[in-house]
Amino acid sequence: MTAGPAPRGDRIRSGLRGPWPVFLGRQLGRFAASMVVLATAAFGMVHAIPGDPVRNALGLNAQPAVVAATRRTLGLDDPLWTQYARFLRGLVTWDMGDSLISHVPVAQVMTRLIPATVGLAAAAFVLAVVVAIPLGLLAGIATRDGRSRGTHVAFTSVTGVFSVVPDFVLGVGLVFVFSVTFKVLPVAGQSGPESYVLPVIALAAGPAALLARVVRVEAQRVLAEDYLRTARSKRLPARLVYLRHALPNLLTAALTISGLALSSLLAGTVLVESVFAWPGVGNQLVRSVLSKDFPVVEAMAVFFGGSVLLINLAVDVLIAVVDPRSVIKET
Amino acid sequence: MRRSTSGRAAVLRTPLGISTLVLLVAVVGVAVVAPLVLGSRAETIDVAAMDQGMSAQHLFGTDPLGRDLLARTLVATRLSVVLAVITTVVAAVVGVLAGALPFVLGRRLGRLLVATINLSVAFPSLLLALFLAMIFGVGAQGAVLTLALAMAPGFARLTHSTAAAVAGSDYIAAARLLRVGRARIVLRHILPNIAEPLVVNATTTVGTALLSLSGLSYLGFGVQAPDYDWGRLLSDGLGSIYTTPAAGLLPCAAIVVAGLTFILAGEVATQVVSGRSRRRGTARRVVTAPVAPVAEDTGPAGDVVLRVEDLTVTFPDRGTRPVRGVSFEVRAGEVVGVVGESGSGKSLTAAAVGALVPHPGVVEATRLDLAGRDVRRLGRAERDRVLGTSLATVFQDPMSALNPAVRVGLQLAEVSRVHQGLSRRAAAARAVDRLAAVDIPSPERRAREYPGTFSGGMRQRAMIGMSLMAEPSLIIADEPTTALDVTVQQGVLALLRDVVRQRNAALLFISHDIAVVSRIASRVLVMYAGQIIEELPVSALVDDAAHPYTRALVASIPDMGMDRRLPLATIDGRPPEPDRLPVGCSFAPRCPLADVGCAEQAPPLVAIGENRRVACWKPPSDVGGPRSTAGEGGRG
Amino acid sequence: MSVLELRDVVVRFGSGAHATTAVDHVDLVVDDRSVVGLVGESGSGKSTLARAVVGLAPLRSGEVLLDGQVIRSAGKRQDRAVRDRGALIQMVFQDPYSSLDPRMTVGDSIAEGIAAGRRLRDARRTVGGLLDLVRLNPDHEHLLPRQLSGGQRQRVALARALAADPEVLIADEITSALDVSVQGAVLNLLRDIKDETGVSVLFISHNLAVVRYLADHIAVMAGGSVVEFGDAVQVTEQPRNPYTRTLIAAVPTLLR
Ligand SMILES: Nc1ncnc2c1ncn2[C@@H]1O[C@H](COP(=O)(O)OP(=O)(O)OP(=O)(O)O)[C@@H](O)[C@H]1O
Ligand code: SF4
Ligand SMILES: [Mg+2]
Repeated sequence: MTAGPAPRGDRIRSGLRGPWPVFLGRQLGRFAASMVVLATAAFGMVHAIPGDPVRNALGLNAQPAVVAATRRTLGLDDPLWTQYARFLRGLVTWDMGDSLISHVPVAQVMTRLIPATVGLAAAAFVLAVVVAIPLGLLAGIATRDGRSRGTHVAFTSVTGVFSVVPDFVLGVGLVFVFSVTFKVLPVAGQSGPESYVLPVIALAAGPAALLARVVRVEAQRVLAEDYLRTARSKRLPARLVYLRHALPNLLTAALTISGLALSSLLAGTVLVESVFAWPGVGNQLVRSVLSKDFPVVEAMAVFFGGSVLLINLAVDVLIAVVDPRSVIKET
Repeated sequence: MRRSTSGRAAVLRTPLGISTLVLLVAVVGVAVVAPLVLGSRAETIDVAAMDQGMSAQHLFGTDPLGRDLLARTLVATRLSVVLAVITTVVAAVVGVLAGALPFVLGRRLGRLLVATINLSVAFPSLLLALFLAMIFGVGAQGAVLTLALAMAPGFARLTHSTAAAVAGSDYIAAARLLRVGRARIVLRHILPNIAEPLVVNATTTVGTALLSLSGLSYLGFGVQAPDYDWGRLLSDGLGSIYTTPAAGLLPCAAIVVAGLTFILAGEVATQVVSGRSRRRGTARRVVTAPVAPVAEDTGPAGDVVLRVEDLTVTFPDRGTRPVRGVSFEVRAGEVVGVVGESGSGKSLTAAAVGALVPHPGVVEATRLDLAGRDVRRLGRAERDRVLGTSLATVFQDPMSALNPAVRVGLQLAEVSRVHQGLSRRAAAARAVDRLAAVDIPSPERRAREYPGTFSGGMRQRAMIGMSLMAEPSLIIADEPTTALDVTVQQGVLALLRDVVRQRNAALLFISHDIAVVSRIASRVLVMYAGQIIEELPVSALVDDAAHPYTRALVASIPDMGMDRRLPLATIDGRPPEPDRLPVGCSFAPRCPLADVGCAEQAPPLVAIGENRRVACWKPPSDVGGPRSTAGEGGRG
Repeated sequence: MSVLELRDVVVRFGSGAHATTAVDHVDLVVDDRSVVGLVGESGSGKSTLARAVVGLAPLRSGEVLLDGQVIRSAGKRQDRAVRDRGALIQMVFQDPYSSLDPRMTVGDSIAEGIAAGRRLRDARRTVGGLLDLVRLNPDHEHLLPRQLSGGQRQRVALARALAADPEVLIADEITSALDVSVQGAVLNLLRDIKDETGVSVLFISHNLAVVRYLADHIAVMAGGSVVEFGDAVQVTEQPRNPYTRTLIAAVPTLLR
């Protein structure tokens, strides 16, 4: 090229090496800041509880001496900022004190529960994504610009019902059919691989339905874009039109929604674990909140909140990998 | 498209609308009536009837205290629905206020609030509610409050984003210029324009709130004994799922039905709001003219590249026919212009030639020959090959016509890969060659880039390069310069002109701008309301046009030589809507020469000389002759 | 007497390395009862300049004066009376489909303008009178924008702006979203209104032929600066700047 002002493209291209560190740095910074906000919120939550949290947890009949001793061991009589600093330090060093009820170290409780919950959520997520994305794409192709109303109605009603039925209700229904009536799968608990079947289905159905719906709508949007008309005007085979020209433009939306689906899967574990008596964080969370066992609840708030933030971070980075334009837009 | 109130009401007459309405009435009816009628039956403890199965007396059996399960489920409707509604109202009020606040607060604070809202939306509301329960305690009140607070960010974000879109619109700018006060702008302009999505969202939220509240009650956070809602009944009944399954399944069913009802109601509300329902059955019948049978293939007819006879495009769903009996020919190496106002059917005519008419449009013609072959009679594969190689299309908006996710070179190369069987490498080389042919600097590098790095003019050049990949005999360019800057337009026009000259391809050039057409075409087709109303050589445009519409169109173009003291010529009125075409000449309502005869019978398109046709009962007698008085069709 | 004067106006968006200067030290005068045409390609800064004059885009430096009084300047916020005087400059936007509130009737939209006119200078105009001024049927008062064609909407937008009884009207590409056959009618109307009301006009367009039809003076903008200014006839017939010549060559005129 001859000398002269660089055309628009060059500036962006040569910048490509530049934006990545900035982009990643900014994302990580945002994640760290959000984590601090989250930890502060978890800490603040306990201190916003009306009355004395220890008395709340131990009950009205607890001996004043016991209450005072517990307050002391928990350091609740220290100045607020000392407590805050200790809390943050505890999170980092994985030492968050003992449960008020069972007196087991919180870290130990978490280490025991997290794998069960993560396993459940991960299995459900994989199932949801593997079912929903191809289904949504196919439905989108079949119903593009108002084609095949029958398919449209069938698809929207089936996914509609599944996205509405709450996971715990579905869980109860599944238990009734497969465990109570046909007795083919275990009712509850975490045992062999077969114990995963029902909770994973109960957990995955709603997010999968939602994901499939969004992918279909997105597919329809992309299929109506001008550049797809261009691809069709070139008379390319359907395979190229859909896989090369449509799919990449769908990924951003699909990833975003997958992230949301994963977050809502995590929330779902709370209910589903309690239906299936699953030994995970969700099940324990319910008991701990009810018994006001706040050291445990604090840790769980950070776990759940942190997972959501981590998912968002992963989605943002993945989108940037798939579609480098978003890096440029961000910086 | 005009949205009528009857169109909105029509949504309620669709199967979805009717069933939703029935469900809604049923749920609300049960909520009101059941506690009055079944209250005592649901709450009287009957030790004699403990844990019974199904019987005539207790249709679905009883619970451990001998209370009728069905009655309890029905009575619980009221509490479940009322709590869900209260939750939604609180969430909506808090959320809308929080979402609107950034517009009132200063910049910094506003941004912080928006960031907080965006962060909290990421957290599932049920989780938030569980943690908030630490503060607000368990019980119906606590559950409503915590869930409402947990759902508020959703409303806040919706409020903020819709209001931000409205606040950025020109009509708000206009109001600000008139110094309309802030409060009044929010009340009169912003709120009415964001109310609809908010109401829709609130309806759906009642459904989700109902489901979440049941979940909370089920976990023991919500309604406490002796009160009961569905979630409470479910958690009580779950333990006895082996003995009395109905105890668990009945509340499950109730939760699903009620939740579904409100979520469907939200969906129907969306459709009512956007007026998107398909009004089937209300479509007008199209008066179908008999279409002659497909003509025999006659083989290549001289140098005619495209021959279209009696082409119509019909949309049966709307009962419209936007293209009505169009016939024309394009010969090799020729540039034919198509002009007409927006909606006159130019693009659809082009789409029909390329078999690209959007579903459910129906294309009919007595003849549609491309390069001597009737494309409609070819097998699918052969048709794709003929259309893919003999025809190329350049579209209006280069910004959206290239795929942003595929490298430019590949978008060009795939034509040759698919239709000409070139190897990957040969196709890529050809793509670079074509990019160079359309004057794109450093084509090798550009071919490897994504369209995002190309300027508008360069993209259009790339599109033209793409159209040259397979040596087509016809290029259709649909408004190829409309989206470009005036100075860039010149370059693209010149390029198209060169391409046609060098490669002996024919060009069908479509534009609403008769001036642009006159710069490139040698022959012009003027379209009006789906028909060709005049065909004439470009040289005749300025002062020898026969149709009053063409003359008025020509006269209405401001040019650098006109007398500035005179008013511009104009055409009063507007073209007819495709579903309300006049019986006679479609231009009659706007035509200064129209008389009773014109309004009664449509004039046929008749030849009045070589390459000249006109559809008008009163063409000037001296057309095609030495000179005629120009541009008198317009009225000031 | 009302003269609109722009002194050394700069508008810049963004900051640091990403800053773009949309309007770059522009001086411009619109004399009383005159029409100044502003031409240039998209991206040359025409619309930004217009928005800066009416206060929709912030000035980085320079000032806007009406009758010699500064009504807008960089940095400082003028007091209320001065800001109210700013309403004597009104603007009509490019896209008639987004410049009218879809939920307000034609009459209500115009009434907002009338209220402004009454507050500011005790002007007493009526909706009927204004509809008449823009050659619309008085029955249109009760219609919603979606029931009107593009040309009709643009007339309503014009009526709303005129309702405030402005001294200066800025017309930003008001015909570029319209079909050619409708464009002429709107341009004729604007010229008639100028003659009837004596309002000064800053008329913006990318089409030099359209500008030539309306304007007494023409300013040619490129890359944020005014590259040529002069009498309309002189600019169109003896352009001095090469860019002006390019624009003239680009005017879509019928080839004879
Ligand atoms: N997919 C469709 N379904 C129903 N009607 C359609 C469809 N596409 C176009 N039409 C109608 O057909 C008519 C002609 O449309 P067409 O796009 O051919 O006009 P045009 O002359 O190209 O206009 P423009 O200058 O705006 O591009 C219009 O009235 C339009 O509303
Ligand atoms: S047929 Fe009649 S109405 Fe139609 S264009 Fe000719 S003169 Fe006008
Ligand atoms: Mg078109």
